Amino acid sequence: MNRDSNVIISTHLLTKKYKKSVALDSLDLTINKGEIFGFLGHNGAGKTTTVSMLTTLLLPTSGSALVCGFDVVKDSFEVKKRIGYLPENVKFYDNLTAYENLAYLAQLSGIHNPKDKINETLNFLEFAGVENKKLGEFSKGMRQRIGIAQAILHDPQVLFLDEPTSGLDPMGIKKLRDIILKLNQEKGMTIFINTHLLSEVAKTCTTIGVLNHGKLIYKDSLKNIIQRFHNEDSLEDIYFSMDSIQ
Amino acid sequence: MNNIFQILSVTKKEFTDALRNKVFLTFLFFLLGLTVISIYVGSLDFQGKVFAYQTAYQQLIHQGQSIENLVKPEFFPLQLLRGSIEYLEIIGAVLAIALGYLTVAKEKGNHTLQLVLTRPIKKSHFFLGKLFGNALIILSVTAAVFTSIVIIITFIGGVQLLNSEIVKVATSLIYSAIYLYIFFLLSTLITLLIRSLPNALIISFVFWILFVLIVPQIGDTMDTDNQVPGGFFNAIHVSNTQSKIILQQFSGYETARNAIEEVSITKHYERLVFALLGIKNSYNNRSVSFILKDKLIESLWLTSSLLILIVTTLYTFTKKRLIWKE
Repeated sequence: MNRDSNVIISTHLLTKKYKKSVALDSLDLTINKGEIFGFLGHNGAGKTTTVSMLTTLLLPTSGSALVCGFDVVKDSFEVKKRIGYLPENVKFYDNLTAYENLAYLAQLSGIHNPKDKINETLNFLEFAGVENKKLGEFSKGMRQRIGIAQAILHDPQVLFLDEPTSGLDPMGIKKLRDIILKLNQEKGMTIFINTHLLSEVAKTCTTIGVLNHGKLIYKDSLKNIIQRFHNEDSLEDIYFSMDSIQ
Repeated sequence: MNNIFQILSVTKKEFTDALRNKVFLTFLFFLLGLTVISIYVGSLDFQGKVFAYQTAYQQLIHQGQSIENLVKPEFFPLQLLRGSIEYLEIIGAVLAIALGYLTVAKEKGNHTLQLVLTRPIKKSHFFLGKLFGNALIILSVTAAVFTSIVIIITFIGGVQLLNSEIVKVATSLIYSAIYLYIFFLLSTLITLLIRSLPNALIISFVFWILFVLIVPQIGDTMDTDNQVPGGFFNAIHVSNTQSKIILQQFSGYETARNAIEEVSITKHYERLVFALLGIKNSYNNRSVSFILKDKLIESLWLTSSLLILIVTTLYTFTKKRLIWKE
């Protein structure tokens, strides 16, 4: 297991088995501080299972994982203090306003006076003025931004985003991309993005990992990948080349 | 300190969620409305007895006959609560089941648990917050019912309750809250254990039908004394002592009948609260301590069921997988 001070996420032979299938098979992965890591793979490749284990929602069958230097099983409480998580198709308490949702989740994170923190976060996301609207009235893009707000309220070191662009229109995708880059550049947050959209990875990520049927088949910086597969026309072609390597 | 703050945040949210829930508020006002009606009907019934007594009294005087054998109707104001207790047993339990279902369903169905459980709060603390919040809601519901009863009796009926009667009402309130909380916990546990939310709600109501409606009814139907108004033995002029001697000949039947009743938590609650409020005549003018001692078994049934369910639901919530991929 890598305990290098620059490493923020590391997994060793991380495996998750269900009754009839292996969702994740012996994943060895290292992500450094400040990276925007794109975790690519088909639907059902094991991306959400990986994030669920790294965010302590799911227990591994075998292997281990450290997030911010803490074991996701033994020190899950310490891990939770340092991470933010935006699940795929994030759901909120629709009977509450945006402020009430954020205040409640902030209190669960141990923030005693959440008002200032909420204002600061919404201003950072350029989303102030929606506090008193009920979440039930929000569009998908607006919900996604509140989703990011709840995930960063407590200033986490690592932000996990599971299919964040799912269901967003082009404008929503653009806004989300800007937010991800801003979080990384201004707050120095390490960001782990689960996605199957190669175009998004190309525009935001610094490092890419490709997961296929529960196995990590490739991991490198975006720069190196483009150099190595220079004969391919697009990132889609690179992806299919990696897939065919397997 | 942080743990307490987190637990209280969940408690507060549960409470405000209930106050914003239109279905919950509708049921609550329905229950309060029925309580007022039942007190009114009870008082009309007593007025009828008084009128019958006065008419009989005047007729006897008019006819120059003796009034020695004319029994004065005794007024025990707490007996007016019978209807309210029965409504709490039935509709209150529905309300508690709805609360239990909602407390889990709003997290499981909305997939909000993913947001909660990736925060630095222990699962047990989160769930304790929910248990406290709903305990507060149920206590408020029972307090609202009993307070409205006392207000009606005191200010509309013009009857000043004795201190001993107020203590009996307060004790009944606590046991009513325990009774409702048992149904809340039962429904919470079922909704935690069963993955499909609609199925969980259906099964919760099956338990309600069984415990609240069917089992107590079987026990009552098997009770010979319940088959004739005023009592079977009373109707055939058999004294209480003699009836006990007769029933000893049917001990097997009585044991079976009692065993059926024992299964229902509703029956335990009813036996205890009916004794406390003097609805069962033999407990009128008895002290609270005497009644609690005499009904210790019922009290133990209620409190032990409560504790077992609290531990089981807490254990289930902390150990069971609750998040499934959509």
